[in-house]
Amino acid sequence: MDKHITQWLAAYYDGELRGRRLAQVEAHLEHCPECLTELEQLSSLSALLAEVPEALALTTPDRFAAQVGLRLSRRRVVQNKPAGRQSLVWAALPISIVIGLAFLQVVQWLATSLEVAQVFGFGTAAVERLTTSPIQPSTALGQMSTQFIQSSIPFSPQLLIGVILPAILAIAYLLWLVVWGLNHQETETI
Amino acid sequence: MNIASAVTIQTEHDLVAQAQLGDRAAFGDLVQMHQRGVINLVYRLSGDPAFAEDIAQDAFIRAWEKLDSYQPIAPFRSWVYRIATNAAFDALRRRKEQVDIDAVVVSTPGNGLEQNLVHRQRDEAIRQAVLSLPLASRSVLILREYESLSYQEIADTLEIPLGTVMSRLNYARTTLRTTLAELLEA
Repeated sequence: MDKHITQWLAAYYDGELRGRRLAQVEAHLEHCPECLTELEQLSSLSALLAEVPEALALTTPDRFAAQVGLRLSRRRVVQNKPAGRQSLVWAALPISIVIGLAFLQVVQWLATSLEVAQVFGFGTAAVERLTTSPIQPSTALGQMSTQFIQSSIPFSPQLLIGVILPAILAIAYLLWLVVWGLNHQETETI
Repeated sequence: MNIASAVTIQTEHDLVAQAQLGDRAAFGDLVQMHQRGVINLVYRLSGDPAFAEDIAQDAFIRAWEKLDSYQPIAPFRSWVYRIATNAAFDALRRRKEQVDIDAVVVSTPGNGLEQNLVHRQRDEAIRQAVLSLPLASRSVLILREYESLSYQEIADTLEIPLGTVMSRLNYARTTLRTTLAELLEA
């Protein structure tokens, strides 16, 4: 450390020193009259500056706050968006719905195309294999699963694929749009 | 930190959160909590109490409009003081004319006409000495000596490095000790 600690005196006076530096300065001040005088001068200056009074209040505190209040603009409060992974899932939802709808449309189109091909006799053998030969489960478990699925669905496959599933997906998409709109809507001005 | 200070800080956090949601009454409470500090800060920067109140109002209006940008990392006071200091700097640079110290109203304890006059002259000399400092050093000195902000809080308020705070404060004090040498020796 320097012979004198003048560079640390202001920080010491302002209470900014900690730990080892603080201990060093205090130890130095115990046997250095010059630095002690410098410290006293800092204290005298602060006392002199403190003599100057505060500004005379031209406006009462209540009136001042009221004047500020009258001038406040109408602020808009923006809702917080979901962040990070939550936002990614939220964005992926409508995409998944659209892909699902597209898949159903493709399946329906394929089914229709096969029926048309059958009517006009195109590739009859291949069409017959596709339309009249459901996948034969090779195991007893597979047979039981097939029977369970067929008995548990109250609708025909055509109704399910053509109407019900698209309707469910469309409703889900609409609901997503509504929730998204509410989340991103700014509130009324305040 | 004592319990009263902790409660005050928690209350202030709650008020800021409510104000950020648009609660004008909560912001009004924040104005009442900090208006004296802001007015005095600008007053000591400028020497003009009417100017100080005008700038303080402008500062609180700006604070309301920017409230969404406030993060409770630094104290709310430091954030408001930053806005007030910037507003004062802008206004003082636009003014350019010398502040008329004689026109400034000073409140001093009355103890006889002559003694009052001596006090007033002394106060004016000190205030003039502070006002004669460069704006950069003056602001650091005022935030330290009159608002008791820590070096880090001053750095956050003025958006300057810690080392710059220390060097400007040292310059201000050294200059004032020379300017006010007669009063210091008295």
